[in-house]
Amino acid sequence: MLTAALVELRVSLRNPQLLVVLVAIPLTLVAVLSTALDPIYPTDNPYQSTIPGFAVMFAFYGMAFAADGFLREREWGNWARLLSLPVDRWRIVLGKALAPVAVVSIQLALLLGLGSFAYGVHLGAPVPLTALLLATAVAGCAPGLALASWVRSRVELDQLSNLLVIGMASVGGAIVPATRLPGALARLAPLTPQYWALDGFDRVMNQGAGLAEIGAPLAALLGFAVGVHALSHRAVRWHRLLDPV
Amino acid sequence: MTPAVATVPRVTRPRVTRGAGLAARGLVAQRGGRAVLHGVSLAAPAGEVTGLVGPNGAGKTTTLEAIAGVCPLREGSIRVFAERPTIGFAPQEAALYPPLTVAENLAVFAAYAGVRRAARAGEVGRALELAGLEGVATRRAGRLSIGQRRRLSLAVATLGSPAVLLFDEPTAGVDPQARHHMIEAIGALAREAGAAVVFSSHRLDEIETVCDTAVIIDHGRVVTEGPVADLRIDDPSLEAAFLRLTGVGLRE
Repeated sequence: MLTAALVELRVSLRNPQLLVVLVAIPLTLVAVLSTALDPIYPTDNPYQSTIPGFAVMFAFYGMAFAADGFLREREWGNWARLLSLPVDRWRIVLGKALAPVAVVSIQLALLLGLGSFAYGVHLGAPVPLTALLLATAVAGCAPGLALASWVRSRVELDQLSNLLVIGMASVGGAIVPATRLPGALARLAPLTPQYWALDGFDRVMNQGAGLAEIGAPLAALLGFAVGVHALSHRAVRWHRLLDPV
Repeated sequence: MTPAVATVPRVTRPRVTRGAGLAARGLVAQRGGRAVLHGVSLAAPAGEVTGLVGPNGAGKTTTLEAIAGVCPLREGSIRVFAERPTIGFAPQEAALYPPLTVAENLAVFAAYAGVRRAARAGEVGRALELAGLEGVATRRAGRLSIGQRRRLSLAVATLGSPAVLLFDEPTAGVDPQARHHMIEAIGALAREAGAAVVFSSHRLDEIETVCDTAVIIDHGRVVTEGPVADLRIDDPSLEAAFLRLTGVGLRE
């Protein structure tokens, strides 16, 4: 499992697209929109809202990178070799699924750290922040396995993941605060994991919450991850996911 | 002037144990809901190269994938008679990590093959030498030529010194020099290292050069098998025997 995770991590970190999507684009949006949309954010320092907002929004691209890891193995013809090795296939699957979680955790830490360093964003206590960061990364990558078994190409993956990530981020309050959304959308917001991630970051970063006070967001994020796996378990086309051809 | 000859490294391993090798019996497998193998049986003794030949779609790849454990079997049995009953498989596609270097690919697959960390560097070095890729160890696999990728893929299959080696058309698309190197290496892996090698190819001259025995397969069934010399006994060449047995009609 560790070998699969390390290989995936090494391959991912050599993909420049990863840096662009997970770090460069959110930082650009933060720089452009924070001052332009300052009045709509509830915090005195707009970056206090935009940094976690865009960090969370783009963390959910973890699902695309998780799925891409499986598509790549198929594209490179590696499943035929991997499945012939004396390694349990589920250890390989789990290892591959863990790597994007690590990458997204690094992305979140990097964006929050840059926010603190460059824009004076207050981060709150490190323990609840770290717990929330990890839970967000797990939730962000959770749909990857199901996506990988459903899409037939990277183009399809890009289209579907963009729809899911941007759609859920918009409804969840990652771009515009959920309190500013129209009534119907605001009522839908708590159905998205992004809403709970942002709620958690708000509690930790703006209200000084400790671990005990972020139980609900943590439960919602981890519940989303478990729920996605449970619901998609039957829907995942395992044969297609690991098809060597 | 003496022409440059590519040298194939000698690999020292214990002598072949009598009776060791691979025995596949009555393999039945499906692909995409369609029956592809209808009871293929195959014996590959250790220390020998067994050629698997057949037209496109005959079931060569499925046979090798079934033996490698990649394609699930509906019926049949596969037994490896060896102290360590392990199988190394080089699929038809190069099956590598293009963003990783040659040495990194070997190290990764050595880890997957269960080679201990302390022995990994030595194993990578041996595989580099086998593939003749020492000079490009730090080059990314995605930047290798087709021949280099094929040689690397072949070397990856040998990591951990498996008792059985399966090569699915390893020389497809490579130049004569690389093909010569690979054929020599395949022969050495069987005769010097003692592995039971099964090797599929469309090149019947390769089969004649390196294989001790050959199995001709068509429509998912073994048409004939035996020592290469015996198979062509009634024909001017192995290719003539192959065409007589499998027909001259175009496939796929």
